[in-house]
Amino acid sequence: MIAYLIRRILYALPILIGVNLLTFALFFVVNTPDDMARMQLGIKRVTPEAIEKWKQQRGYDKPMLFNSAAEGASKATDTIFWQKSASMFVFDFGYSDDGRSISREIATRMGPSLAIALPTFIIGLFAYVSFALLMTLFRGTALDMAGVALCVLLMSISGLFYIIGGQFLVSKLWHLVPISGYASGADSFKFVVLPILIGVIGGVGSSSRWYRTIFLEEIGKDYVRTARAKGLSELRVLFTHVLKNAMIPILTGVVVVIPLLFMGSLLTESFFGIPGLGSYTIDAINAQDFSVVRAMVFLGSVLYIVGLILTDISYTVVDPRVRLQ
Amino acid sequence: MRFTPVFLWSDYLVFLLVAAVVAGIWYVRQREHLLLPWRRVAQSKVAMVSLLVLSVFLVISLLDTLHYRVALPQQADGQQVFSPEVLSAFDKLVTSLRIQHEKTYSEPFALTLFAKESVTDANGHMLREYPRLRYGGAHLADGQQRAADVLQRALLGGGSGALFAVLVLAALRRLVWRAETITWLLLCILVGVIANLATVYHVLGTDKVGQDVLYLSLKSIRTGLIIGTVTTLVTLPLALFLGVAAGYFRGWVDDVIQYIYTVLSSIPSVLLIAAAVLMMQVTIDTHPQWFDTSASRADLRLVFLCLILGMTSWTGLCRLLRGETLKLREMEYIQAAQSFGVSSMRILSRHIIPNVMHIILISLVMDFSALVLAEAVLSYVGVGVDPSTISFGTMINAARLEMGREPMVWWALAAAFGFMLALVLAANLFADAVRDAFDPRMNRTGS
Amino acid sequence: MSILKVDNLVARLRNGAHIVDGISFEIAAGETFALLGESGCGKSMTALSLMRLLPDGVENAGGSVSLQDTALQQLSEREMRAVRGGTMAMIFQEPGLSLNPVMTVGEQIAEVLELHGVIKESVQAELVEATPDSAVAERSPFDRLRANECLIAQRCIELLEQVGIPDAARRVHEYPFQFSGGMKQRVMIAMALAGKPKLLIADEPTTALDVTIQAQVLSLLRDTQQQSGMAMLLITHDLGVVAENAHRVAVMYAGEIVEQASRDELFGRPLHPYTQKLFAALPDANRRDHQLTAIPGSVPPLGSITNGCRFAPRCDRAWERCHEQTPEWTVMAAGQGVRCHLYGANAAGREKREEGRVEAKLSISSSPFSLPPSLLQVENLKVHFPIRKGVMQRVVGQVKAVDGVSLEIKQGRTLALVGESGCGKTTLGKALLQLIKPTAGSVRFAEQELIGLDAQALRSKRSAMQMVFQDPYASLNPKMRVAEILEEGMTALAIGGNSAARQVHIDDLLDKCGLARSAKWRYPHEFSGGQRQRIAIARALAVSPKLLICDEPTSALDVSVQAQILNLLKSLQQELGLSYLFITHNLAVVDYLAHEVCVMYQGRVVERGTAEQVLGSPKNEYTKTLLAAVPRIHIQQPV
Repeated sequence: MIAYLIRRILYALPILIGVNLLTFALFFVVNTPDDMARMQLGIKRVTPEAIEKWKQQRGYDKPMLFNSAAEGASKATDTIFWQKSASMFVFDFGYSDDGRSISREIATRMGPSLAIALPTFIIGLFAYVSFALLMTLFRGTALDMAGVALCVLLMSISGLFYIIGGQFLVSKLWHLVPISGYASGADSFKFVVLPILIGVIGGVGSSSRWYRTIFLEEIGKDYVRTARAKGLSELRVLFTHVLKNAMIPILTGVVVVIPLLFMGSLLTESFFGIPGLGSYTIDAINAQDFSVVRAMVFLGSVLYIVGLILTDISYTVVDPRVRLQ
Repeated sequence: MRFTPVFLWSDYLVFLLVAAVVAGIWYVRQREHLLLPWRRVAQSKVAMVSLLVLSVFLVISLLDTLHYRVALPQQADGQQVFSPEVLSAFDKLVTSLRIQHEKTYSEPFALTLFAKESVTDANGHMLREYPRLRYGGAHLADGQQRAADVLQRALLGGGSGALFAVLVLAALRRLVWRAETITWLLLCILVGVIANLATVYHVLGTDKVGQDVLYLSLKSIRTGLIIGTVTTLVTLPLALFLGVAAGYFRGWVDDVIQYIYTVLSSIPSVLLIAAAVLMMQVTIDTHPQWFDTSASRADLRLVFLCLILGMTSWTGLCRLLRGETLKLREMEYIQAAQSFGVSSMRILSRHIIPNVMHIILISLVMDFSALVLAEAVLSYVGVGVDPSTISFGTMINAARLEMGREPMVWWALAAAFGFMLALVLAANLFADAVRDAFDPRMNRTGS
Repeated sequence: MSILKVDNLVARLRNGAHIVDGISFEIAAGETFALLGESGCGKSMTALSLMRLLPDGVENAGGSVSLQDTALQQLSEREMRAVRGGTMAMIFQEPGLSLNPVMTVGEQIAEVLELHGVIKESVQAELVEATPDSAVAERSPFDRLRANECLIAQRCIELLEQVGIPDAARRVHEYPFQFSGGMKQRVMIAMALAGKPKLLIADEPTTALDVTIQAQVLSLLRDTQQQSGMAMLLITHDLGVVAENAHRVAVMYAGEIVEQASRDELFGRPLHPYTQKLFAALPDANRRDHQLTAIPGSVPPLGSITNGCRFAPRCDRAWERCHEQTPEWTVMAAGQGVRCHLYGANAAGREKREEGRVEAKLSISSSPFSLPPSLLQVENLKVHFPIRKGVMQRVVGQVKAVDGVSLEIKQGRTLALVGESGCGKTTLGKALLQLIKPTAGSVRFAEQELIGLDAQALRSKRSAMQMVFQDPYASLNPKMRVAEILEEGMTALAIGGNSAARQVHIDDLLDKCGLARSAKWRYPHEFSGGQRQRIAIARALAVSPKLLICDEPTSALDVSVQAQILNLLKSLQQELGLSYLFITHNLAVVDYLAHEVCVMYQGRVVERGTAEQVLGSPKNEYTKTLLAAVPRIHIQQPV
C-alpha cells in the first residue's frame, strides 16, 4: 500500500512538468512577448522602444530557452523559461502587472476563499447525500419522481441566475444581508451566508441526481438482496450496507475537489466582492495580467494533483480491497 | 435586391453537422437493431415534447446560419459593393424587430421610455417626462387603449397559430389528443401570439441602446446551439480515437494517452479555457488583417471558443471510452476476430467503435446543456464569445451592470434566463430519455 | 408435519406475464425438497417470492405461503423481517457478489445475531445461571451490552468453525475478498445458520463453484441439516445434485411444476415427457455411440402460452388436445404428481400419436480410424505472467498459468482438457492459437512449428485452427449481422473466393449447423443461447479449420440445449473429420465425447490417457478426487 502511494506521488511529478511546459507553450510560444506587448500597449501607435520597455519591466526581454550570451549555468537559468515557468515549482510566482508579489497575494486571499468554499462544500455534500438518500428510499414513488424532476429543473438553471436572483431577493428586496463585501472575523458571517446558501442551492440538481444514480446502482447489487434476506430493515440496508459501498464512487468525485476549494469560486467571489483567489483570477483575466493567470493555472493543477493523491489515500480508508492488497 | 451569400466558419461547421446528422439518420433507418433504442426514445412522451421544443430552437438557429451581405447602391470601379453588415435569413424574417431601435431602455409592452427625459414642448417649456417610443405601440393614440389592443392582437395571433397547427396535424393525419400534438398546438399559438404582437410592441422590452430584447434572445439561440454542438466536432474525434486506442493497444500507447489527458484535466477547466482564450485574443488582435468584416472576426472567435472548449473537455469522454474498450477487448468476439488474424484497425472499426457508440451518444447529449450553460458563465467572466456576438452570456453581462438601478431593469435578464432555461431543460429531458433508452445498465422491466 | 406449505403461488411481471404460475408444494422438517428446472423457468422467483423479496417490476399475484402455520402473505413488512433470516434463511448463487465487499464477515454474521435476538436469550439465561438474583440487578445495562457483544463475537467464531472455516478466530475479521469462492459460500451458510432457521432456501448454492468445492459445500449442507433438523428448499438445474441431495423433487417448466415425486420415484420412473427428455439429454459414456436425445427448440417466452400445455410445442408426444387444453394436476400412486394429458382422467387419443413416434437414438459408427496421424503436438508449453510489485513495478515473480504442458491431438479425434477454474486450461487454449504469446515450448501443427512465426506467416496458418468460446452472449458482436460475422474470417484470411462464392459457402454452413438460411440477415440478439452457439461454430467452420478448440462451449447452456450442441459437434466430426480440443470441467461431457483426456491441475497436466483409462481407472490422486466429487445419478434408469 505504501509503495502504491509512493508510486502515485512520483507519478504526479511528470504531470506537473507537463502542465508547466503546456502553460509555457501557451503563454510564450503561441504569442511572443512582443505580440503581448503590442496588444497591451495598443496596436496602432506603438514604438519598438515602448515594447522593449514593457518587456524589460516584466523580465520578458530574455531569450526563451537558451541564453547563449550568458556564462555557465546561467545559460539555462537566465531565460524566460527558467525564470517564469520552472521557478513555479518552488512556488515563486513573480510579480503581477501592478507590481505586487503574487505569492503574497495568494497567501492573503486564500482565507476569504476558504471561508466561502469550505462551508459550501461541507453543507452541500451533507445536503445532497441526504436528499439523494431520501429519493432512493422512496424510489419508484411519486416523491422520487418529483425529486428527480426538481433536480432536472434546478440543473437546467444557469448558475448566474442563482447568484443574481439570490442577491436581488435576499439583499435588495428583503435587506437581510449586504449585497456584497467582506470583513474578517465574526463580522464575516453576514457576508458569507448568502454566497454559501447560493452555492449549496446551485449544486443541488446535478449532485443529488448523481448520488441517487450511484445509490440506485448499489441497491441493485446482490449483497443488498442478502442483507434484506437477513431481515434488515430498508433504512438499515440503506445506511449501513449501501452507503458504505457507495462511498467509493462518491469519494472519487468529491475528494479530488477538496484542495481546489482554496481557489475559491470565480463567479461567487466576483459577484459578492469577496477578496479571494477567485475574484483575483477574474480581475487578472479582465486586466489581461498574464503572470497572475499563469500562476493560477499552475497552482490549480498542483491542487488538483494533491486532490488525486488524497483520493487514492481515501480509497485505502473506505475500501478494504485497496487497503489490504 | 442583390446580395452575396456569406459563409462564415461556423456556418461550414453547422452544415457539416447537419450533413452528419442526416447521414446518421439515414444509416440508422436501414438497420433495425440500431433503430430499436430510438423507438424507445420515441415512446417517451417527455422526450418527444422536448424534441419538439428543441426543434423550434433548431429551426431558428438554422435560419440564422444562412448568411448574406446586401449589395449597396453605389459601385466602385464597376464592381458591386456589398454592405459590411452580415445578415442572415432569420434577420430578414424579423426585419422589423431588428431595425426598430428605440433610444434606450423600455419595459415590455411599454409605450414610453424607461427614464424621464427633458423635452421642449410646443410652447418652448422644458419638461421632464417619459417620451413616447418611436416604434413600440406607436400606432396607439392613447395609452388607455393598450390593454384592449394587446388582447385583440394576442387573440388574433393565437387563433391563427392554432388554425395553422390544426391544419398541419390534419394534413399529417395526426389529429389526435396526445402530449406531442398538444405541445405542437401550444407552440404554434405561442409563436402566433408573439409574432403578431412583436410587430408593434417590444414584447420583451428594449435594452440600453434600444435594441429589442426579443430579437437579442432569438439571436442568442444560434450562439448557444453552436457552442453546444460544434464543440463536439472537436471533442469527438479526439476522444474516440485516443480513448479507443489507449484501451485496445494498452502498453506505451495507453501510458502516453493517459499522460496527455491527465495533464490536460489537471488544469482547472475554467483557468485553462481562460488562458487559451486570452492567448487567442492576442492572436486575433494582433492580426486584424485576417478579417474582412467584424462579423467574420467575431465568428472566428466563436469557432475558436468551441475549439478550446473541445480541447479541454475531451478528456472525460476519452477516459470513459478507454474504460469501455478495456472491457470490450476481453470480449470473446474480439478474440474470435483476432484468431482470424483480423487487423487491429479493422477490429477497432468493426467491433469496438460500433459497440461504444451508445456511450458517445449519451455523453454528447448530456454535454450539450452543460456547454450552453458554460457559454453564459465564460462570457460573463470575459473569456467567452466576442462582445459583439449576441449571446445569452453577453446579454446577461450587459444587463448585470444595471442591477443597481432603481427601479431595476429586469426584463433583459429575465428574457436571457428564460430562453436558456427552456433550451437547457428541453435538452436535459431529451438527454435523459436518450440515456434511458441506450444505456444497457438501465433495467427495463417488462421487456 | 410440514414446515412450509405453498399453495397456488403466482408471481407476475408488471406487464402481466406470469413468471411463477400456480406453484404448490410442501416441505417437512428435516426434508430436502428440490426445485429442478432450466434457466428462466421461475425457480429463483419462487424462492424470492417466499421471502417476499421479489425484485422491482415483479409482484406477487396470489396464492398462499404458510411457514409453521403462519401465513406469510398476511404479515406486515415489520413482522416479515423477523421471519427473514430468522425462521427462514436463504443463500444465493454467486457467493462472490452476495457478500458486502466492505464489511468483515464477522460484522455481517453479527448483524443476523443482533437482529434475531438469538444471543439475548442465551445471555439472560447464562446470567441467571451464573449469578444470584441480587447480582443481576447490580449489573449496569452497559455491562450487559458488553457481555452481549462478547457473546456475539464468540458465536460468530463458532458459526465459522461450524461451517468448516479453519482459523476462524482470525478470519472473522477478514473481508470477503480474502476468501476463496467456496469459503465465501461457507460464510454465507454460516450467516444463514446464525438465525437458527427452520427452513433454508438454497438457490443454486454450488453452480458458481468447482466440482470438488461443490461436493464439500453440499456435504456441509447435508450435515448441518442432519444436526439441526431444518427443512431445505434446494433450487438447482443439476440433476446430479438433486439425485445426491434431495428427498423429494419438483420439476419446473415455464413457471409451472410439471412433475413432483420422491427422488427415487422420479429417477426410477419419470412421468412427464419433459422430465424423461431431460434425463435422456444427459451425456455419459453409455451413450457414446448414439446421438443424444435433445429437446428441440427452446423454452417459450414468458406469458406466450396461455392455452394448452407449455411443453407441447417441444413435445414429440403432444396431440391436438395438448395445444388446446391446459393439463390438470394429476396425482398418481404414492403421491407422485404430474401435469400432463398423458396421465389425465381422459387420456384418449394419445396412442394414435404415439405410434408415429420416431426412435430418436440413431446409432452412428464410432472411431473410423484405427491409427490416425497426429495433427497437433505440444511440447513443454509454458505461459507465465509476471507479477509486478513495489514502487518501480519490478517483476518479483511469475504466475505460471501454463507450466510445461505436453499433449497431442490426432486427426479426427477429440482430446478433452479437464480441470477446474484457474487451472490454466483456457490460457492453454489461447496460447495454442497464439492469442497469448507462450513463454516457452513448442506448438507444432501438421509438422510445422507455430511459435516464433511472424505475423504474416502466422496468418496463413490461422485458418487451420479455430476456437469456439464459452459465452454465447459475449462471443458474437451484437452490432453485426450473422452473414457479416461468418464472412469476417474469410475476408481476413482472403479465402472462399469472391463474395458470391462466400455467400454460397455461408448458406452451406448455416445448413450444416442446423440454422435457417434466413438467419443470415439477422442480428445475434434475435437468437437463443443454443442458436448463438451454433452461429459461433459456423463462424469457426467458415475458414475450414482442421482443429477446433472448444472452450467450455456448453457450460452456459441448459442440459437440453447442451445435447443439441454436443450432437452437432459429433456429427460435424463425423462429416468433416475435425479434431477437437475440448476444454471443459464437465466430466459427463468428457465421457460422452472424448477419445483422449488430459487432466490439468495448477498449470500442469497431471494425467493423460484414453477416456476409458483416465475416467475408468484414474492413477493420479487429483483425478480421483475430481471423479469422486462429481454427483452421480445412481438410481437405476429406465432405458
